[in-house]
Amino acid sequence: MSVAQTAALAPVPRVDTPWIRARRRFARNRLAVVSLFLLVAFHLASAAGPALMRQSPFEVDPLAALHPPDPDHPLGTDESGRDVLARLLYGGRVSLAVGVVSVLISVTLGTVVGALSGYFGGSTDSILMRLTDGFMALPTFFLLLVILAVFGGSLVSVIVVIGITSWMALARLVRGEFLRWKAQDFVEAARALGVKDGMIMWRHLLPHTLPSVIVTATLGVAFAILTESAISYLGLGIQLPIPSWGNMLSNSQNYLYTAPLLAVYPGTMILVTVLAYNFLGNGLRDALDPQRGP
Amino acid sequence: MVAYLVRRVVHALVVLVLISVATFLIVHLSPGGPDVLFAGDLPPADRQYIIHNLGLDQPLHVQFVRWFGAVLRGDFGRSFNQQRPVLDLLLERLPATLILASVSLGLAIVIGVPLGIAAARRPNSWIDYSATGVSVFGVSVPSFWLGIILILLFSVRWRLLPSSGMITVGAGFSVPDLLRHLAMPAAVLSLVYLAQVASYTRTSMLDVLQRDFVRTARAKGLRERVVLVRHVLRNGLMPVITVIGLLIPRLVGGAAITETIFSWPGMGRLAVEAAFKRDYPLVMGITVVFALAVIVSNLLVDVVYGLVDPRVKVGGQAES
Repeated sequence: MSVAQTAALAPVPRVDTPWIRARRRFARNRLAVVSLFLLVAFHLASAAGPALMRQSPFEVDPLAALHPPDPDHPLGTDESGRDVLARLLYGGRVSLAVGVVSVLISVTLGTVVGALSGYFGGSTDSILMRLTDGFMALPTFFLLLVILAVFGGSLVSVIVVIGITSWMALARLVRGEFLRWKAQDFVEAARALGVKDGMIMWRHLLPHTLPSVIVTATLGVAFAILTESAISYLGLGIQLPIPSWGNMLSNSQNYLYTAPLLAVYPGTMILVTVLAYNFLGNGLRDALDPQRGP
Repeated sequence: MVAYLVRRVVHALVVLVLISVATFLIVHLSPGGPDVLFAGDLPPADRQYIIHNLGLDQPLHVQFVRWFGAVLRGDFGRSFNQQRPVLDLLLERLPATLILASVSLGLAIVIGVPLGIAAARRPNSWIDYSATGVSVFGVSVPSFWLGIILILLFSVRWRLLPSSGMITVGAGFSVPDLLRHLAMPAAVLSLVYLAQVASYTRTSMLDVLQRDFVRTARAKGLRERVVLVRHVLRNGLMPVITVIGLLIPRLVGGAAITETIFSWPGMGRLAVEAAFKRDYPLVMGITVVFALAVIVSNLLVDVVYGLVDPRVKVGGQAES
């Protein structure tokens, strides 16, 4: 009876879940919050922008080539008289899609390889880790060039190739987390209850890897956008007339003296987006680290 | 230590074979295969003749064994485009890339490591903020964009540095001339690695500085210098060595872009040209040489690791 009484009297302490604490830590990082808002704005603008624009990103008008900004074309026109703002928005759609979708591929691959490797151990582990080591030793950027040169640069091939050449670091991280957590009692308990391997991995181990996955994915988007711009610069990426920030930037090189702004817009967009993704990733890493304070 | 090294070398060889198989398959399974390019518009008979001459009508595994056997003997075949042995082309371009890559990696280490250490010693100071700033900017800026801007400033506006090439044509070789040509490519190539080396050094040092043994070392009255050099650096720089090993494959890729921007006569640019013209023997040769370079440098990193970390000598590779 006395137990019930004390329980009724003591105020229930509010216990914050790790996610709430992480959110609080994140909110204190101003740079990361600003980056998040910027990125949301960029994604929304490039998703909705092209539909709202009067100008088409593809409509060629040789008579209006390389025009400075005017009310009709807020950022001017490019060498074929196409509207730069429309192309910038549409190109953003392409560049951001490359970033996000290729990261989805690499995160899925990395998580699956790391999970299987860490959970099953033994020969599965050795084979998968040798494979990971092999991929890590690859000069991936050059492999990228070879594959794109052979199969041709298109949106899909660029996304797939970036995805399958950048999963290795995450695989190692996830494997490490699995090794660490699978030795814990709650996993042993689940196994004793007869829970299937797949369920243990999905319900009990995978959630622990979420912080690493989220941080790696965020930084991965930045890296993928940069990679796309680099291969487009070499002329092997997304092919014109489809705009991407990368190929707009590389194309603008020919008009550096006549129309330097053409290089400034896509260059700034790449730089700001990649910076924002990196700040966001660093902010998330700090926020999701359970060793930090409340 | 010896057993450890033997195991690493065996791994390295397996990886090399895997990379060769992968490259071979990518090239030979591409739409239409390698023959489509140079035998495309010919009459069927001539086409058949060319395909037969190049051995492209053999089963894939036969072709692979033949090619790989030749590679082991140092014969990479002839370039389709330049009609010269691939090996000659590679050896011609190798020194330029080695100079550029080693200077860039050296710069990244010589600047990045002290920067990371300085930042970790005084967290939230101006040097910490500038180190973090450099780190984030370095991994965020598109290298070709930076290259173009540098050319615009230093070559076009101020006329201080040459915008392309490795030596001034017709002037003969001299070290100052080489350095002037090297300055911008090395700066651009090293920035991204400098950024990563600095940020990893900082993280790792911060981690070690909080450890109990550092507190103990300080508590027993060791001078800060001794604590730093003997206790912190030895432990803190270990992960940095690993990271440098992982950066080397990326250095190879970065070289491709940097060499293209500055018309540096190295293998990176050769690779881009070969990829563009679908010069398959050249592409395959470069891939194998790049992979070899990466594997050898990773092996060197493993050796250094074995020398620095006593745990490696007994119990195999230390788990990170």
